[in-house]
Amino acid sequence: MSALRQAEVICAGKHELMLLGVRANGAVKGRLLAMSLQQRFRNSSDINTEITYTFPLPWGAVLMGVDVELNGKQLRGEVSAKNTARARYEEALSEGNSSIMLELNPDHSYTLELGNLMAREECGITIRYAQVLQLEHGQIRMMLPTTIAPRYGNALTQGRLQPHAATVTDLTAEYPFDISLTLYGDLAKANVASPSHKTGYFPGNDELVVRLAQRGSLDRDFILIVSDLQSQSAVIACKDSYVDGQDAVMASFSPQFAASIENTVSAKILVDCSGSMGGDSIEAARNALRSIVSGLGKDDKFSLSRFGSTVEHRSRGMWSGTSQTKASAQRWIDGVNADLGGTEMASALVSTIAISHNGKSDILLITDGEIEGIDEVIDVATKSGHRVFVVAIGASPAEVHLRRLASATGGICDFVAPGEDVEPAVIRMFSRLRASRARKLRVEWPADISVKWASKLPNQAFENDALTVCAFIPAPSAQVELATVKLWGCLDDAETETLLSQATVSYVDSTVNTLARMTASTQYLEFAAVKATLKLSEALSKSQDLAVLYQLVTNETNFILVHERSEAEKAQEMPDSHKVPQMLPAGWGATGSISRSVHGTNVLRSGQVVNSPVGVYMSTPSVWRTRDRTCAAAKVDALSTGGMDDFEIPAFLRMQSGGGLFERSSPRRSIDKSNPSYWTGPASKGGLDHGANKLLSNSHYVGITPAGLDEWLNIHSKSDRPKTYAGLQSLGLGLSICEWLEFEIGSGHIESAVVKAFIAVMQGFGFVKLAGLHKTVNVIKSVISPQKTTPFDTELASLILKGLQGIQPNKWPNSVVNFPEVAVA
Amino acid sequence: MMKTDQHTLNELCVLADLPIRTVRYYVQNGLVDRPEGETRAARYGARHVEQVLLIKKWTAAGVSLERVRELLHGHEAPVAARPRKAGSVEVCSHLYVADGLEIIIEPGRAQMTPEQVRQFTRGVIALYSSVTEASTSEVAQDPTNSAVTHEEGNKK
Repeated sequence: MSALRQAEVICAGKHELMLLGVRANGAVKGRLLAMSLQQRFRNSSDINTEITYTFPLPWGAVLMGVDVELNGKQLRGEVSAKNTARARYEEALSEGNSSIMLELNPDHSYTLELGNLMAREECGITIRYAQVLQLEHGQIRMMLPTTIAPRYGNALTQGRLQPHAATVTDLTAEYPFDISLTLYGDLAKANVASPSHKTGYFPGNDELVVRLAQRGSLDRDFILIVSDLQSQSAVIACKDSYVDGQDAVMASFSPQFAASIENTVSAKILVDCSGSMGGDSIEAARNALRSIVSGLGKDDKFSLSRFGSTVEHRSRGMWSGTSQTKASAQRWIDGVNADLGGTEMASALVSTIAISHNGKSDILLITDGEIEGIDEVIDVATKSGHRVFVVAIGASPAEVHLRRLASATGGICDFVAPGEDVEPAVIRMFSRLRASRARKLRVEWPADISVKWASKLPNQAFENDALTVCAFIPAPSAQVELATVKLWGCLDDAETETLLSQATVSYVDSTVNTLARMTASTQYLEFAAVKATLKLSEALSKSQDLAVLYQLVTNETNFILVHERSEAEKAQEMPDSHKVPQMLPAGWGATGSISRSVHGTNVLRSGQVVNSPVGVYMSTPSVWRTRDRTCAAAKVDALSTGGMDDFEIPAFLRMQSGGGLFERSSPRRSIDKSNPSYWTGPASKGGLDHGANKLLSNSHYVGITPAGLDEWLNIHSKSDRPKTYAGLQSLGLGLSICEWLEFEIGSGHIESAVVKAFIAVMQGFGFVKLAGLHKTVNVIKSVISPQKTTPFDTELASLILKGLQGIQPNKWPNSVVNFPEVAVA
Repeated sequence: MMKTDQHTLNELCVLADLPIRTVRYYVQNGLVDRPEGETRAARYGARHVEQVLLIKKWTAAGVSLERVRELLHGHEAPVAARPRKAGSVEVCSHLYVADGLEIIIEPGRAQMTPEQVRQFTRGVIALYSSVTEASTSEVAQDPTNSAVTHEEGNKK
């Protein structure tokens, strides 16, 4: 019952903004990032207000603490069970006191509630988190999301958000953003760049400070790419100050495979064409697609699909990567646009999974991930046995959604920001798809360590993609420095293990118990997952206790702070509500292009499609059609469009069909489409698909038959004859036949010559015998104006003739209809 | 017992089986009428219970909160907008305002009369001219806003 055509921005309307801005400060040592985000609020109204702010944190970030500054005073809070925290919060408000609570949402965003901020009061909230940065193919991509984009679907029923936590976007909202990052060690000496912001770099002794060179806003991810790093594995250990006699260990492996085989790729490509992808994103998607298709080899298999509110597949099955299929694919890519409405990802996946293939296939999904119902998608994908590799694009893609989807299925999620080159991400993707896979992974701990608990290993490892394992071990009596931790696995189908990676343990000191808390966070997530699958309630208190002990904000625990006011200061009524509206991500849904945005002004100029090789500037069709085609609807459609197959219209055709009509002095006549010898309709009933001929039938072909084409040529004058492949398609010749003419016959030849030769050959077959009145009319015509035979290229004609072997009046040869697939023998 | 308005907020939440924050959100945003009394003295009655239950039913069916507000306190239109049937054809007008700025109007669904469409059109065009005039004069005066900061980016 979805009434949404595409994700819509419902403006919250003009009102005073209460979020003044966000300032980020971070430091990276080894592979551990410690970041603090300072959010500044001000109650600009005259009445006590409850401010609600939902914000994202990056994937893998573990909340370490929340510092609150209210009216110049530092306040402390704590993490406790959700129910307790909520009760304390509500009680504080009803008593006229102030309270601050931070809650984790099902979509992994966080909601901050600032209850009873009095009139004109200011408050600073500092969120501190830690994150392990993953080394992938020699580079680290550090991402900090700053806003949540509008999402397709229902936030309450599909996103499982509570109404106060659901986000609202306001086009007029603008919040300043600033960041300062210090890199230490090998990162400080590496290649550092930001594709998202203009940054300045300040090197020091063994450190590098990164700052924004131009004022930023909360309208895009902050991305920092550190490349040219040596693949290295490392193991760090630290005393756990919350539990006596316990140490926490974190091993970060970078698997190396001794010998690697090259697998062939079998990829079902699925691209998101919903409205939110408009502008920058769809352009990036097209570039990614072009790069992917050109990287395919003859032995690889691929299919092309695009989705929005519905899903459309280019072919029934998988194509091999021949030059013909790739040319056809590039043509299809040119027509990809953000014009398919909403984002029904789950059903699109189901339909794509159903594309028949031999053996195992992977899904290559190109999207910005902005949907509410990701859980359903993950469910569908996990059951399918396909790995999902995601190319995530946009200024603020739904990182957590897409990483969850990829990791649940054994795939990887890679990101391409606006203005970033798409090739490196695509190359990485191919190397993962082609490379050897390591399975049956196992960690070998030092002999004298008996691990209390260690995190689960994934099902497979990719070469050069970091893999992190953490564990709790009993504190050894003597330091286990120089002990080695090893990662073993089986490559491809081998039964014997090989050593993939190893590193020696080094101890670090910590005042804030970061390592132990991060380990506990992973442990908690595993407990929670087990609890969810087994529906155990006894495990409930165990996981909740763990979260409270390590002061972790989880789906069972919240951060809570209550601030008592003096009697005179207490609020007399319940507070007014203010939900902080999100800034619209730059470039979302074609609302301006990042690469063209001029800093310092509020003008958003929409980006033009400048790189499309066909020079396509599509005018939207003036009649909207739905995709369902019942017989009756098909007839109506056919009458008005001249029989064009809806979704197979390449962009340049629309312009043709619009312009041609007005130039004609006489109305266009068309052949009788209900006659099965002239026209094959969808789900044809005519005896084309029963009996022994089933394999050879082209019952999926929709369009004009050879006889129908002959008839068309007869009833139209010579000047009306098409001169282009597009023209042929507009009179009903199927896309596969036109592409066969264009790519197989026509490569290296002039289009009009090929078409002329084709028409001559078709007329030469003489499928339609002129009889009766027709014959008489023709005889008269030929007397009045003697027909000059149109000259045509005989070489081309013989090529075409050869290719059309097996043609019949009501059926095209299979090799042509199935183009560009390999012909069915 | 026919006493009106005798439930506390907590009791109202238990009756409706909804989280307290959600019910309070509905009250804050005018979806549920305000209670008698304030803070701890606030009391809710049968009327409030009915409103909360209706909201719960409609949101579970996917109705947006804006629509729910209309239904509770506004028009009496049917709950679901007329769904568009498969095969139906719709004709829209394209209002071309400027290069790169088009507005698509389906007057039937927008429930606008032709006169209103005309007025809307005039208004939009006038708005566009005033906005672009303002910014071009801004652009001309702002010395830091040099046109050379246009970046083509890394588009390949």
